[in-house]
Amino acid sequence: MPKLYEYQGKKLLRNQGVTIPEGDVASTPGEARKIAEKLSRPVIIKAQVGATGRFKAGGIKFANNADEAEKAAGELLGKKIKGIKVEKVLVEEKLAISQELYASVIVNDSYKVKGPVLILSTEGGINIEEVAKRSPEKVVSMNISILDGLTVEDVKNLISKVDISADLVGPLSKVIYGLYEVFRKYSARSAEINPLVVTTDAKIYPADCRMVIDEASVFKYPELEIGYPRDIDREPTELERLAWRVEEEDYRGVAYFVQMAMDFEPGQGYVGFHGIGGGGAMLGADALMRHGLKLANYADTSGNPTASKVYRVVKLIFSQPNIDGYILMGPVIANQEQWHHAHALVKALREELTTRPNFPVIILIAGNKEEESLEILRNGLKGLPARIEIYGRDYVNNVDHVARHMKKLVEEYRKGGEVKSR
Amino acid sequence: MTVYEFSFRTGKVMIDQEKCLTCDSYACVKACSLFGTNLYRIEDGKPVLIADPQEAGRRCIEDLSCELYCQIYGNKGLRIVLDMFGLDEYRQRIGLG
Repeated sequence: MPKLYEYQGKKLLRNQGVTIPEGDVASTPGEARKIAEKLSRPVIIKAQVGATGRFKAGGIKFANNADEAEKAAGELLGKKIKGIKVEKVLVEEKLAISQELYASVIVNDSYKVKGPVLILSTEGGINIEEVAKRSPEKVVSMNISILDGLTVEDVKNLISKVDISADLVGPLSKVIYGLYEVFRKYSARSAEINPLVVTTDAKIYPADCRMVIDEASVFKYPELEIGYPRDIDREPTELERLAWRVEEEDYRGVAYFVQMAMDFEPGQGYVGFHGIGGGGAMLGADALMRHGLKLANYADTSGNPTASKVYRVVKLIFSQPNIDGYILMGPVIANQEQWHHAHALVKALREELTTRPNFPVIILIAGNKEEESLEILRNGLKGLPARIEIYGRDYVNNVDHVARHMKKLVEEYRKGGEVKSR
Repeated sequence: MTVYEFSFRTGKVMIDQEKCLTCDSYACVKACSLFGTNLYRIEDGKPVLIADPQEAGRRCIEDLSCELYCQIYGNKGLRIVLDMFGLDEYRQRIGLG
C-alpha cells in the first residue's frame, strides 16, 4: 500500500481546513535555509521517508537559525534512514509542546466492523498499542458507518469520553473531523496524526501525519503523484516500475512483482518465483529456500487476472538475467479460472524456452478448471527443449516435494553445462 | 496477404485469412467460444467478428486462447500482439531480445 510522505499528508489536512505548522519541503540544504530564514524562529528538520521511528533513527533534527537548518538538512539529505534514501526534508516551525495526543482513522477488516474506526488517545507520541495496554482509559474509539458518515457532533461525543480540557473540544473536533474527511476523500486505508500536539498557547497542530492510500484507488488521485504505489523500503528497480505499469494499465486481477535480488551470476541458484494465492505462495517460497534455492523475485497473479496480464508477469520474471529456473507455485485450490494462467504460461514459455535448453520449469496449479488447465499446459508445452514438471492438486499440501524437485532440476541444469550468462 | 485485425484493451488480434481458407479446424472460434466471450463466427471459411471491432474489443477478455489453439490445432494464421508497456525495449537493452 502506498504511503504518503508527512508533508503530503499535512498538505491534504491543510486543504481540509486543518491548521498545520508553518513550513515547507526542501530538496537541497539551500532550500532548507531559505525556509528557515522565512520562518525566522527555531525549526525542526524532518527526513521525508516512509518509515516510522525516524527520531530514534536520526532522521529528525532541530535548528535555532538558518545556518543550523542548512547544516542539518545537508546531513539528512542523501542519508539512509532505515534503509531508505532521504530525498526531501520538511522544515517546520518548532512547536512549544504542552501535551501530545493521538488521532487516527483506520480500516478495520474484521467481519464485525468492515469499515473505518476512529481512534483518539490523550497520550500520543508513542505506539498507540502500548498506551492502550498500559492506560486503556486514555484511548477511545468508535466505528464509523460508511452509510451515515461522521459528523462533528460524533467527534465531540467521542472526545467527551476522555479527559480533555473543555476549551480544546471545539478545535480538536475540527482537526479530527478534517482527518476523517481526508481519509474518506483519498480512499485511505489509514490516516494517523501522532503526535497531535497541544501547544503552550492552547493551539492544536498535527506534528506528524501518516497516510496509507488504498493501492487500487491510486489512479483516482493523480495529484498525489504516487509513481510507484507498492510498499517497498527502497527505490523501485526499472523492472519493478515496468511491472507496475502492467498493473496500472489493467486492474483486472493482481500482477504483483518485486525483485528480491539483483546482480547475481548464473549457477547461484536464483529462481524466478511466480506465486498464486498470497499465503500459499509464501509457504511455497519458504519451501524453496529451505531446500537451498534463492528467489530472484516474488511475483503473484491472483484475483482472476486476464491471461494477457499473467503473460506479462511471466515475461517480467524471464527478464531477469541469470535465473536458474522458473517456478509457478500455486499451492492453493484457487477459485480463479486457472485456464487463463495455462494459456498465458504456454504463450510465454513457448517464447522463452526455445532458447534455453534444459531450463528448469515447475508448474503447480490447482483449483477451478484445473484438469483443463493441466491438459492445456501438457499439450501446449509438449516438445519444448526444457525440463518441465507439471503438478496439480495432489501436491498442494506437499510443497516440499515440489521444492525438492526444483532443487534437483536446478542442480542438473548446472551440471549439464547449460548454465550460460544471459 | 489479407490481414484481418481488431484491437482489444491491451493489444490486438491479427488474422492472416489466407491461411484460414485451408484450415478446417475452426480452432480459434471454438476456443473463444469455450474460454472467451464467443467473438468469432465463420463466414466463407474464414473467422470474422460477430460484432463490430470496437464492441468486440470491449468484450474480449484477453484469454489468449484463440492464438494458442490456432497455433496448436489450426493453421497458425492468428497472432496476438500484446502491449508490453516498455518491457520489450527493456529486454532489448539488456540483451534478452
